[in-house]
Amino acid sequence: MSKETLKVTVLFFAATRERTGCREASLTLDAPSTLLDLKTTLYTRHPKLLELDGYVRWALNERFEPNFERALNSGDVVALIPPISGG
Amino acid sequence: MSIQRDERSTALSPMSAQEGRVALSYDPLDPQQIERLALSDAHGGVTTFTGRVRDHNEGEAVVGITYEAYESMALKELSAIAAEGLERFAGTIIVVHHRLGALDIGGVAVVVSVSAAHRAVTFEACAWVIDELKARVPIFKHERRADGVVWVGLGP
Repeated sequence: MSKETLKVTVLFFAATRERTGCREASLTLDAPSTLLDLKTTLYTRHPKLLELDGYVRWALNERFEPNFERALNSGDVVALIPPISGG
Repeated sequence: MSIQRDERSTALSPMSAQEGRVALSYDPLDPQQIERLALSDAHGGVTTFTGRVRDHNEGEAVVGITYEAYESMALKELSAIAAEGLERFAGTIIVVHHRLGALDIGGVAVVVSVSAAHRAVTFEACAWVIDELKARVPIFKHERRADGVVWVGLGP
C-alpha cells in the first residue's frame, strides 16, 4: 500500500534565499505532516538554514504561524521570513 | 493596494478614495504626492512621516540599501495595519507606501500620511502605523556598507 503524501511550496527570502540558493521549492511530505516535519526536512536538505534558526519566523499561506504542530495541507505555501527591517 | 513597477503608476491618479492608500513601489516615492492621498476637506490635520536612508547603522558607514519583500504578504499586512488603524483611530485617513529596490543615501524608503479632523490623533496614528510596519510587514533590508553587504537584523 503506497503512503499518502502532500505537496507544499516553500518560499525563501533575503538571507534564507542566499543560504539555500533558491527562491522557491516544492516539497512532497508524508501525510499527515506538521510544520515541524517540514522544518526538519528543510534543515536536513539545507543545513545552512541552521545558522539562521532563531532569527527566522515562519508564515503559512501569508500569515505568521508560530505553532510548529500545525498540520499542513496539500497546496499550502510556507515562507521562511528572516528578520523584518522595513521602514 | 498595489505594487507599482512602472513610471506611469507613480502618478497615482486618477483613483477612487480607497485606491492607492497602501502600496509597495519600485519607483521613487514622492511624500507630497502621497500625502495628497490622505487629504480631505473635512480634515484639518495631516501628519506625514518620511523614512529616509541614512548614512550609518550600528556604527558602520552605509552606502545604500536595497529593500526586498515577500510582496503578496507584505501588501496583506500593510492593508491589515491600515484597516486596524482605522478602527483604533476613528475618523482618520491612513496612507502608507513603502519603497522596494535599490536606494541611495537620502532615498525615501517609506511614507506614512494620516489625516483627521483634528491634529492629536494624526500624530498618534502615524507613529502607530510605522511601528506596526516595522514589526510585522515582511520587508528585508540589504545594507550596502563600505566593507560589504549585510542583511539587517541577523546580529553582529
